[in-house]
Amino acid sequence: MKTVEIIFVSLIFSISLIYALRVVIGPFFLKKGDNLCKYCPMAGKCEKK
Amino acid sequence: METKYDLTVGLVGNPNVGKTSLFNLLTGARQHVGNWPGKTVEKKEGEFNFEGRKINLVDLPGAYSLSAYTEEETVTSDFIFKEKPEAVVHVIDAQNLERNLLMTIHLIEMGSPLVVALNMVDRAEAKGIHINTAKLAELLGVPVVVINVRENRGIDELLRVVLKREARSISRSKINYGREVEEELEKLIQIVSFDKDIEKKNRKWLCLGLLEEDKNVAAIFADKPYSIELSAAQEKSIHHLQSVLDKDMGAGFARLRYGFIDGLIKETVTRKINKGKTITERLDDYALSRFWGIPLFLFVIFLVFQISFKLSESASGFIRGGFHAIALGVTSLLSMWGMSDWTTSLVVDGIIGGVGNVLIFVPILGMLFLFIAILEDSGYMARIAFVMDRFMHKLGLHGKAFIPMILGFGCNVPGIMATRTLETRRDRLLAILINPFMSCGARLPVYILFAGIFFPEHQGVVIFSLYVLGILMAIIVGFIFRKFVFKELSSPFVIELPSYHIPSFKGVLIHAWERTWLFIKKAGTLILAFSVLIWFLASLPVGVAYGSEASLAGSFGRMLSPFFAPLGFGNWQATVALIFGLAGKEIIVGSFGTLYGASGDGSALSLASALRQDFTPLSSYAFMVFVLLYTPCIATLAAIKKETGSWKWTIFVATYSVIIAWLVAFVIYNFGRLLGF
Repeated sequence: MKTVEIIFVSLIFSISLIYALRVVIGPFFLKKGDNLCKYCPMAGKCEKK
Repeated sequence: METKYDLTVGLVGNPNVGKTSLFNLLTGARQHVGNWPGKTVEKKEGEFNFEGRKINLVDLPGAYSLSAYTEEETVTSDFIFKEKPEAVVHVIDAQNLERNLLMTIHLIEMGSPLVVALNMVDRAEAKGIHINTAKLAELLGVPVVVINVRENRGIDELLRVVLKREARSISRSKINYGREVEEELEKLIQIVSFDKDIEKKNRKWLCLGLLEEDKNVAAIFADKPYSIELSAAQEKSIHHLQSVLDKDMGAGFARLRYGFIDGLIKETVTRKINKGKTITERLDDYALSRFWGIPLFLFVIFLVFQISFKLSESASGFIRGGFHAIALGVTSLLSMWGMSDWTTSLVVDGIIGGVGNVLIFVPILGMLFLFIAILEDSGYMARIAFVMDRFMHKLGLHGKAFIPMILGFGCNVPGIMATRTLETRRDRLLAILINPFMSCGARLPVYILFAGIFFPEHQGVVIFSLYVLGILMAIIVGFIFRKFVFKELSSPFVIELPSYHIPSFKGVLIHAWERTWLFIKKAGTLILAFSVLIWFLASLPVGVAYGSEASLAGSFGRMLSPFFAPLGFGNWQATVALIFGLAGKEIIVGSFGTLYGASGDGSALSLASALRQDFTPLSSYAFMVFVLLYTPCIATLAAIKKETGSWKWTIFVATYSVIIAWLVAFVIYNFGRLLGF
């Protein structure tokens, strides 16, 4: 594998992993003032601000 | 207050009066127009220019009054009191003047710079209701402008009135609550009048709030140096008024205000008795019929599915072909650049296979959303809620819980949020527990994929049966909980039935596009991320054949697949898809696209033939039933955790739903086999 490929594959993996963890874990540990929309992949609008 | 606008205008009104339609018309904003109470649940802003002035329009939640009973009411009164908009436009449904005027009275009492926009006058006239608007304006002491949002008439005049500074003066109209109340009010006003922070125009309203035991108003005075004196006077006044007015102060004040409204109506409204039935009444004879209501609802939904499938077939085929061509093109491009098979597989199998297989369903979803928007905006969805409400009452369930259930058809998260409108914790818990059984839009791509492959001639019937099964399971499970867990349930609920009307073309398109776009967005974010992760699991450890049983995904899937074997889908790919489907149900389709991508020609086209090898029509139906009923997605679980404030209930929902899903899928699969399917 070329270096550029390794960087590309690693980057895609890291971004996907971070995003997935954020979406899966984030909603269960909301800080005060946060709402579920912050983590919603649909950029949801269903929770009151 | 924002300074970049010349004017901030608050838009208030009861639900279903055309408030959101007016907001859309003026700002072009993407805001859904619904037909059940409390659909507008958030403050929404938009801007537009009129006669050289830049106006910031704030669409406030639909509410029936400004008491602090619901969050919608609190949001609206907080905005008017704290943010002090230059004008407040109160949209009123001329057909239901009595009910709408309660809020007008509250707005006048708050000292709002008010303009009343009287909508649906044509429909009121058709019902024989004639309103003397000049007299109404005179008695209320605020401008009253007749508008027709649907036909875009009277809007410019309304805006001109809003822009006139003199029209935005505060009403001098005063409601006399009678000697007893006025005397008690005066005692409280005297205490408050020394506080320079409380504007004179707000004094009476705030003191009324104290007498009505409004928690938000009480909070305003909580830190004041005179709070102890005020609190003692408040308690004494309430005690006195409870003996002469009503034990429930809120109800007592509502009665007094309705007394004022009754007088207002007698002065301004004349009614002609119509001999014939209106169109709405004639349609409701069927839509709300005890005999026809539910069959008609089922037939309409069935028709929607059938038409959507037929109309979107060619567009889906076009997208499928497009992704196939893209996969081939990208494969040759990457090999031309000398990229390794690994990188090519990541892009083609992982990304294009995963996301492409989900995006194929965009036309059919768009079509379904379009029809659902038509049903909602025409007023028929409210009838469905009404019919089901009656049905649920017969089963001893709380009918009000059906409104969050209908919202659950779109997405379970807003469905669970909507349970906030239920009064008691027990009601809320029951509604939350059954909501995930309502088949959300995310499960639809899974049904479409499997029904399209295994039941090509009867797609509509199969998918329709899943929706009905979801409703039935919610009712059965709700009934069991009601019988054994939540034995005491509260009062019945009146569902509002707006008149039927032809939905606006623009509104329906905006609504359908908004939902379709969210789906596309999800494909580009959540589904993409999980497709990539699943691809890695299907490719590692290094050296194994992609998507083979020896991969991490294969080992993981094989470990859990015996659990699903009795349901007819013991293949490891289905297991992996179901596990990752917990993050979002559409990911199930993306997972199959990614995992089976390698077994064919590396494109989305291979998916159908690969699935045919691992599923039979019967096991595919059992799989769809399992997807319908098993543990809701992470976002829904998070919403349950937030709304119940309890890990116990969250874990309970996650567990009991998977048990029910397993049992129902097991019965269907094994019973089907016994019948020879």
